[in-house]
Amino acid sequence: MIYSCSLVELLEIIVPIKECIPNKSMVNKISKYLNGELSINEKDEFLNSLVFDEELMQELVEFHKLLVYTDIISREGDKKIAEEKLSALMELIKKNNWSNG
Amino acid sequence: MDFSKIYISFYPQLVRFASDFVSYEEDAENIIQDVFVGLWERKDTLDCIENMNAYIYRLAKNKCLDHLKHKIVKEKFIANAQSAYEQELSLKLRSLENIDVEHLSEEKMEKIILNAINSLPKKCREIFLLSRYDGLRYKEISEKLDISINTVETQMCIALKKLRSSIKI
Repeated sequence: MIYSCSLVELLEIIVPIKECIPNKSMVNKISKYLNGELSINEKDEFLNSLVFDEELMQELVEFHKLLVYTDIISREGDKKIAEEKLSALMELIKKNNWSNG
Repeated sequence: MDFSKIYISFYPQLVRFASDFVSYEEDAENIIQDVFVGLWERKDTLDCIENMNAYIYRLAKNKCLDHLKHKIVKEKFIANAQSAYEQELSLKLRSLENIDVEHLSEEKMEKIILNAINSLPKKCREIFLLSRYDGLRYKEISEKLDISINTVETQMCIALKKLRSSIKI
């Protein structure tokens, strides 16, 4: 089946979709910031630009939130670290004679 | 010209001179100490100096200038760092306020996220995991996988966009 529509109709469909997708350069900056890949100067510049760019700020918050979510996945070594930390905490509790309650 | 004599004659007045320009007496003393250390190192040529008074004041002036310039650069750096740090704190505050812990801690969430990550294209997933889970820098990833840093950046962007569309948060 062949659909036909005018250019105006096509733009009405495409433009809102495009507006929903943050541009590559913005995502790249956000990604680099969140992954600690910006130099000190780039980071300063990026943080300063947030003051005047609410859209960038909102996108950053959303992507940050996304990475926070991906951080809940268990990783190799998590259990070992937790066991060691718990053991150290127990030692501390015992040493300081802290009682529960 | 005897170094000790010069020291005795000039030290107090040079410290006062320096004190007029720097904030702390201790800094002034250190600056003038530096002036005399420099002079000591050239003590064999002191006799060639025609006007010791002007010479030693010029040394003191230059040392004070260096000190002030260094201070200004340092203070600017601290102010910038402070400002960037405050911005970062505000940003993190806003991000944290946006986190719905009920949603985040839903039992199914870990599975949803794992599925989303596993749905990423192979290379993209590998790069994302190396960065986020193994903590590798982009440069390290590019070396490990023998690809350019640009490719790492691009794949990380793709990963973020795809994850964002598949994890509804």
